[in-house]
Amino acid sequence: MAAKTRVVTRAGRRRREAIAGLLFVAPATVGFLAFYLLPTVRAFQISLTDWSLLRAPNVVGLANYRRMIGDPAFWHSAWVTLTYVLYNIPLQTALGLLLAVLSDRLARSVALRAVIIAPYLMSNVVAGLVWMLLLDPILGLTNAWLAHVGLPRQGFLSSPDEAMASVAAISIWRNTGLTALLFYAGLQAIPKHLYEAARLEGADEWSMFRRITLPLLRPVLAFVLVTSLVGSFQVFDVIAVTTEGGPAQSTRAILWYIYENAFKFHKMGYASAISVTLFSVLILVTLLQMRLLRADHSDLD
Amino acid sequence: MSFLSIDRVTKQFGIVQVIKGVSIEARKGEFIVFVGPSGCGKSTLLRMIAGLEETSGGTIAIDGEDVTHADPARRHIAMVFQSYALFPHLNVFDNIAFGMQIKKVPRAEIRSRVEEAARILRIEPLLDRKPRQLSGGQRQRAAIGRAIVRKPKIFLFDEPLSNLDAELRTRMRVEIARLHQAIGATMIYVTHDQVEAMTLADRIVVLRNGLVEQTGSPSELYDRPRNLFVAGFLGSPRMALLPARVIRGGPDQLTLSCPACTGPEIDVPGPFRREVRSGEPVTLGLRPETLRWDAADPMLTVRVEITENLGGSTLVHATTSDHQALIMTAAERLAVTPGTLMPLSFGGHPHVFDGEGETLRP
Ligand SMILES: Nc1ncnc2c1ncn2[C@@H]1O[C@H](COP(=O)(O)OP(=O)(O)OP(=O)(O)O)[C@@H](O)[C@H]1O
Ligand SMILES: [Mg+2]
Repeated sequence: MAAKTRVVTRAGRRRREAIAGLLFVAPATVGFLAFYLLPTVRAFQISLTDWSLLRAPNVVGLANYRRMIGDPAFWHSAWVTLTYVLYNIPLQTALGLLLAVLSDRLARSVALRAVIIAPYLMSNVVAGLVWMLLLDPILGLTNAWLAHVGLPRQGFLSSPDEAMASVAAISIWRNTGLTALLFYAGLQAIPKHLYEAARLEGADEWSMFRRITLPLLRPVLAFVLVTSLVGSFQVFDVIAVTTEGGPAQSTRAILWYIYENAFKFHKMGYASAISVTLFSVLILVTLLQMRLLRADHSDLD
Repeated sequence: MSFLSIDRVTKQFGIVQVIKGVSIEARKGEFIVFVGPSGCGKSTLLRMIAGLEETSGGTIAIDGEDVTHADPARRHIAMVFQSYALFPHLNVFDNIAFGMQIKKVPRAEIRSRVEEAARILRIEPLLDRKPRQLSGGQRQRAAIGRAIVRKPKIFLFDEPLSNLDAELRTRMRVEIARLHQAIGATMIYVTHDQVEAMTLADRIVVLRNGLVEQTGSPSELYDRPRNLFVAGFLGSPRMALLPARVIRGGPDQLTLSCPACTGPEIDVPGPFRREVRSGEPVTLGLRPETLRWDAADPMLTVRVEITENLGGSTLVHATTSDHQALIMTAAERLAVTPGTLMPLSFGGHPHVFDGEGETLRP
């Protein structure tokens, strides 16, 4: 009898805890449903139609997706985005890591970290505008500096060969500070005794970095890589304020192409199909990355 | 010639001087223990020997070579940290092999040396486990394994057992003693625990406030503490310290009056280091095991506060009539209720310290 009442009250307590838990996650869930899940579902619906903003949509099945596969402009934009990602991620990650390790091992000053993070406090649009002025082929300061050290003038954003690299450089300039700060926080979780033990064993700075810092930073590295990779595939605002996809389509990244289709050519259905595809690819890439980096699992207690 | 020679070293952190001129000599194979209260500079001194802290003044020489400012790796020293400092992402094998892998020692040799260390420490079945999968004692052994494979000139231990429970601490203490005998290496060991100090050390260095108070073998320090600090620090339970005054100073006998004592005066037999003037204030130091229940000829009477039955012996915590704490170890089982007045006498030659706290014994 006594045992039975105890079971009942325990079950009751568990139910109450479950209700409290649901209440806690409710606000976030509502936001997620209204602003993420619903638009995603809607985008998928629209991608199955020929909606043009003006006329009522007709369902066209997978026609938009078939068209996408045969569209050279889509593949070009995918390629342009990939080159951007390939410029951006390795450099931004390596620079961020270098800055973090240097400021951790050499100068642990708050002022220095403030300087490092400063560009991130600027919006992409402002950063884009500032650098557009600095990189102006004729009036920009950058070419003046290059001339000063005896290098030839560069086209930067107005040269089809250099535009995507220039956009990437602007993003790197802006985002490296955040990456560095995340790595710096990760470094603080590594006990200093490990480095002392390694020094006594005869390890130099490089082997300590390779054998201690890097493996113990893995969860932070995974987080940084996943977020910056997803962010890089969605490069948009810097392009919007600097090159608008040009010159000669050399910076027409996927998001810019989606934007053109939707709001310039009024092909909402087609734009949605590309969006849904990008979304699916990014989810796959993220899952793969988390798996490869065992991101959910740290060696530190 | 000594193997490790520390000569008047000092250490300054900013404007704070933490080590104020310490000199220590150690022979090859000696087991030296640093003891002292928290914050006295034990860890700092150890880290200076290892080269993890820069030395501000003085010199450190190992095996005849001046290493005062040498890189830690060049000193051929191994250190076992209180936190173990095992690499959490490497298994025990790779932790032990870490230094050899960095020096690119051939694989076969690494394997045989790691296995030998594992055999000495009895951790062979644990070699492919990660540190998180080990118990405290096993982690400690792995950390010691990392130290011994390198065949260092000197082993440094910074409170290696303080994170272990009491029973394991006792076991590991014996293991460290066994290890020292087996490999005969020079070891320097920092501890708070004066039982560890007494049992492990060939020589104990008592530190206080960045200075050496006394150096000597465990029995020397126990039997002939140079001052009140050392007397109070070594020995568990602590020595009872009773204030007294000299009535008559003789060449080989002192007559004292002490408020805690039963009679008006007691005689303490010599010898003494110097002439003692009458009227001088002194402190009488009584080790717990020298006190006896003695109803026939008591020297002092104490009030029992609490007794602890340790099975084979009994600890009696008491206060004297002038409210000094006193502990007595009785070899037999004593049944006394708290509040009982207990007549005591002390045998042998009690410690006597002068007004400055220095011993009057030679
Ligand atoms: N990096 C440092 N900067 C400034 N002061 C320090 C530093 N390291 C230690 N100290 C100071 O030096 C003194 C000695 O410290 P140390 O760690 O050597 O003491 P310890 O004897 O090992 O103490 P414990 O038994 O508590 O470990 C302390 O007062 C401490 O505050
Ligand atoms: Mg310490």
